[in-house]
Amino acid sequence: MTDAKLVENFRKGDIEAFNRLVHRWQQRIHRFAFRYFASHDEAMEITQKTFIRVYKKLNTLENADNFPAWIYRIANNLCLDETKRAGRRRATTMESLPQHPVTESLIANPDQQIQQSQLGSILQLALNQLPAEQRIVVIMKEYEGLKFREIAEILEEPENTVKSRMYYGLKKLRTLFEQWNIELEALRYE
Amino acid sequence: MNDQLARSLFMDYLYDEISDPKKQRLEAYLKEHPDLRTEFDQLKQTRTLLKQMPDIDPAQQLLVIEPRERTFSQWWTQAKALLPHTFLGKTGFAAAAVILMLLIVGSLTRLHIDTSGNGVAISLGYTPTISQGITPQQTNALINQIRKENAAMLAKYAQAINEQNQQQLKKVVGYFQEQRMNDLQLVDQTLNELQQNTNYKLQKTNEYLGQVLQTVSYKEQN
Repeated sequence: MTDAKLVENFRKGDIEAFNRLVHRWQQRIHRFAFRYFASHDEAMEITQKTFIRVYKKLNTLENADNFPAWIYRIANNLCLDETKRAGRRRATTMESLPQHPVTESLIANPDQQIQQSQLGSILQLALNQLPAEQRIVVIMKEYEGLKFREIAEILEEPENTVKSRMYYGLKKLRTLFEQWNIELEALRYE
Repeated sequence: MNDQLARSLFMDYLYDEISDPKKQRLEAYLKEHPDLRTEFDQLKQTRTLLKQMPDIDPAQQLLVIEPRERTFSQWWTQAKALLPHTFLGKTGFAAAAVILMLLIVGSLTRLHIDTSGNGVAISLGYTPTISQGITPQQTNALINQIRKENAAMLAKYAQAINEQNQQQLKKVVGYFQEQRMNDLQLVDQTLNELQQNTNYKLQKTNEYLGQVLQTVSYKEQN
């Protein structure tokens, strides 16, 4: 059954349809929020808030076919709100970071393959340095696998703006990796 | 193509969302511009590294809403959602519902339809006895009987009409006779009164004449 059909059934009073939407979408929303905050607790909170808002506002969704973009938009707005609310607590400027967070481990173990978990932490740290609008686009594109057109629809921005944010986001990530002495070719993760 | 235009196509090219003509033009341009080629390769390497992000642990399952005891309106709403929405579907559903209803009603009322004879016999509750038709003689006898009955009925009707007319005629004659007697009595009474009045006047006249004659004879004697 499609998302649109589940939405229609829920509007007609079928609670089970909403439960199926939750089961279908909670992993994606949680993953999206986790990539944004790098915190399971924060991601769980955003996920819960997202579905609470979906439950309350689903009747206002004009076209049920737009449900995927709509729920991502809600999650995105909640992430941005949370970022603004707790901005001071979470903000970490590039200057405040250690100059070479992974250099030591790389140099100390040049022949060792970096553990996957370490790499994940590094990448997540790098992601968190991006401005929110670039981070959102990178996460949606790279980890949610959305088309630029779909991201533009979610963010209600022109498609070229989305591509531009993606371009500058990747450029900034590249700069960070260079600052952290991560040798991209040396990793051979292709 | 220039550098700016080439950079504007980088994201489409990197994520394979570029059309073939644009892709060919961009690739040709990058071959001629190694600096841009390097820039694109760096973006590609960055993307390659991003793809190494390990999968996160599955999220804890959210508590879902247990369906509450449903009200009649919710049952009705959900039942309506199950009904077909197209015209053809609605028509078919209505036809099936009518047939089902007929079957149920027929079963309860022991509906019996028999088409074995010349016509169709429909009965409720018992099986009718189907007659096998009548012969021409029976038909003639039946017609004659109907005619006799009609004639007897007409005769009775004419007799009743006749009696009714006679009664009305008697009433009319009686009425006129009564009126005639009343008129005669009135005339007789009037004549009697006239005669009495005339006699009275004659008597008075004689009295006056007697008085006149006495007066005249008295005057002559004096």
